[in-house]
Amino acid sequence: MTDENLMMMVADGDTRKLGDLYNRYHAKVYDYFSRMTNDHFLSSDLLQTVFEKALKGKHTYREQYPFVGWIFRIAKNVLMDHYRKNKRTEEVQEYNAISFEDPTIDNLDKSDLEIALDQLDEHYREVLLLTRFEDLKYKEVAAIVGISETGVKTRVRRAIAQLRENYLKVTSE
Amino acid sequence: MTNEERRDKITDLLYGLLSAEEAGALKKAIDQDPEMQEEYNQIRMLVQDLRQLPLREPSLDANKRFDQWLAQQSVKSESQAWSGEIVESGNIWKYAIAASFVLAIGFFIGQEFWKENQDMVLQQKSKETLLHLVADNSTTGRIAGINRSMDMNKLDQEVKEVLLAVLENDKSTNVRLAALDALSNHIDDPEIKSKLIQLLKKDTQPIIQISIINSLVRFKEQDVKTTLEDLVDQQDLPDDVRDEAILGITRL
Repeated sequence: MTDENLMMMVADGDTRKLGDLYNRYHAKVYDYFSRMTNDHFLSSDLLQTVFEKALKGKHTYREQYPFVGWIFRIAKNVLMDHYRKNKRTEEVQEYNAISFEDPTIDNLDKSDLEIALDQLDEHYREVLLLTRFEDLKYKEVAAIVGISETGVKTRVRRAIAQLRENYLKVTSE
Repeated sequence: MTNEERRDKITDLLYGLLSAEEAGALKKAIDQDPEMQEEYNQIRMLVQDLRQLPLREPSLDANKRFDQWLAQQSVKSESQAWSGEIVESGNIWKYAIAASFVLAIGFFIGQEFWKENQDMVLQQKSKETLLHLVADNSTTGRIAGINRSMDMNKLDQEVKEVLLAVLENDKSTNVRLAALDALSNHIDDPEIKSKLIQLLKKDTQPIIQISIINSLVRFKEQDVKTTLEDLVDQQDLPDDVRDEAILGITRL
């Protein structure tokens, strides 16, 4: 059964089918949050929020729209909400030079590529994370990120160039 | 073509953004220019590694929290649908009287029944998830599925058979080890114990054999000791497995 069929069943009241969609997408959505925030606990909370919002907004889903794009749009909004709500706290923390590094995601466990990816500007990292899934088309990535399709292409090119530089730096250290 | 343009074109090629004609021309240019070829190879490896970066998984607690929340939401939406049907049918008073009666009885049975029902819903949900994920193409998906059984107090026949089949046949050693871990929690089940003994004798992967020995030694039972003694006598047994079997025998 396709993702879209399952989501339509959820919209029609078969709430349990959301579990099937969770099984298909929880790792991808969690991975997106985890690599954007580097915070394991926060990413788990945000993942839960995404599926709660998906259920709450089930009537806004349209079958012709790919589910993967829809769920990642929710994920992006959830992440932006989080940043907005926590902006003040983060600024204070930054001012106090408190490290944001999450002790649960240790740099020692990361590959050189993951370290290079962490060092990318957030908007570059985001397009690379979203475009690495083959089921997300550029059109959908553009809708998630909120820029044009051409903008996504340009951003991917810049991101790859920057990632390559970072990677060479990391591997030479 | 400047260096930057060249690099962008290579990225476009790797991301499938060029027309067939453009891609063909670029590949030809890459073949003819060693410097460009090196750049292409570097970017290709990077993009490939990026695509193959393993997905990070949420903790089991996060999945459990979702399952519990979904079970609550399902019960809520089902009861809403049921009450909606009653109102639509126009027999609301008859149902109200019947419901009051049921509620009065339910008051005494109450919380225990509700808890049991919730547990059943959660158990069923976990089982469905497990069976779905174990059939997944990805290793992480299958392991995540197997991990769902960690919350189950008792394995039902279907789950047990699936886990045993995964332990015996899965192509990934990590998935097999995850299945063994899950089954080890229910090693007092005679069927599981017997299957592990059978598998220990016939499996060819030392890591699996060693892990089975460790799980079985928990029993401290004579038939396991005999199995280990038989195993030690096998001529073609890898040394690591033999050492572990001997250690197991001394522990029994």
